[in-house]
Amino acid sequence: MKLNIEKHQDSDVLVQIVKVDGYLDAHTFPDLEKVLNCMITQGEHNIILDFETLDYISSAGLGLLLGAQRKASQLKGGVKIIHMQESIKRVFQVLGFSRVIEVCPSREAALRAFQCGNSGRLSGDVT
Amino acid sequence: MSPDSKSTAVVVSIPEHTAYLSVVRQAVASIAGTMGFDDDAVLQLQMAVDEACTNVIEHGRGGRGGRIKVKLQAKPGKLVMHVEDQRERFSPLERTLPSRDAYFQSPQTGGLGILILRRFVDDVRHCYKPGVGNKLSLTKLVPQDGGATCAI
Repeated sequence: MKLNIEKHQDSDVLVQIVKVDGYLDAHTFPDLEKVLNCMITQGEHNIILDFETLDYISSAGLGLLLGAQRKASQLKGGVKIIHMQESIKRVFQVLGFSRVIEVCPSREAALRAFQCGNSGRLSGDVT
Repeated sequence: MSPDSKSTAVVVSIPEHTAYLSVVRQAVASIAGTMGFDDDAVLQLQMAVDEACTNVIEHGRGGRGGRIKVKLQAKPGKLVMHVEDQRERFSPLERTLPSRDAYFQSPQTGGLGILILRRFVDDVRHCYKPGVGNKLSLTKLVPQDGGATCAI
């Protein structure tokens, strides 16, 4: 798995964009976990994950996304996903993750949502 | 290979380490792709077998390094995937199946893995033989129309 990180600053809103390449499983998820935890700890808790070249995700990867979303949302931030492949999107929907982590249609839409103060879906309670 | 052909088996043996999970997933994708499963079903089969192997690795963590044998059997009308280890009795099926809401409320209690195992294949069974080990058998039926399948 490779990670490519880019910062996007627009007025006073800082968004971290992390492109994840390869697969996210029990072997690779600690690398992404380290990066996300570091960002959130430093107060950079508006995070976009670009999954355009993510081929596979396991329960370990899904659990990591949920944990990151919970931590970021507690700090008024959030995790949004863009460019998710259709098969992974279906898994997301079937397992209920699309209710708690927002999948945006584009990078622009995700950035716009953060700029409008819409940080995410999960803030501690699932409805 | 057509779904009507006789049973064909592929066996993959990996060390009990997460670094080799991708090898198993590639084998699952190769054999499932030839049987008429669509991309969604292939991904879900990969996730189910990955989960079964990861359970073995996590259960055996700190112990001696053994091997996991994954046998993929393409049978008429179905794909049967056996995940075998040489460890003491352990069945992931004995874990409580959480509701989705329960999982999202308390993800730290786990349960997503068992949700994947139960939902993404049509049948899952565990057997244990003392002195031999555990065998988790996952079965997925080939869709009749050769099209999409989603065991939900």
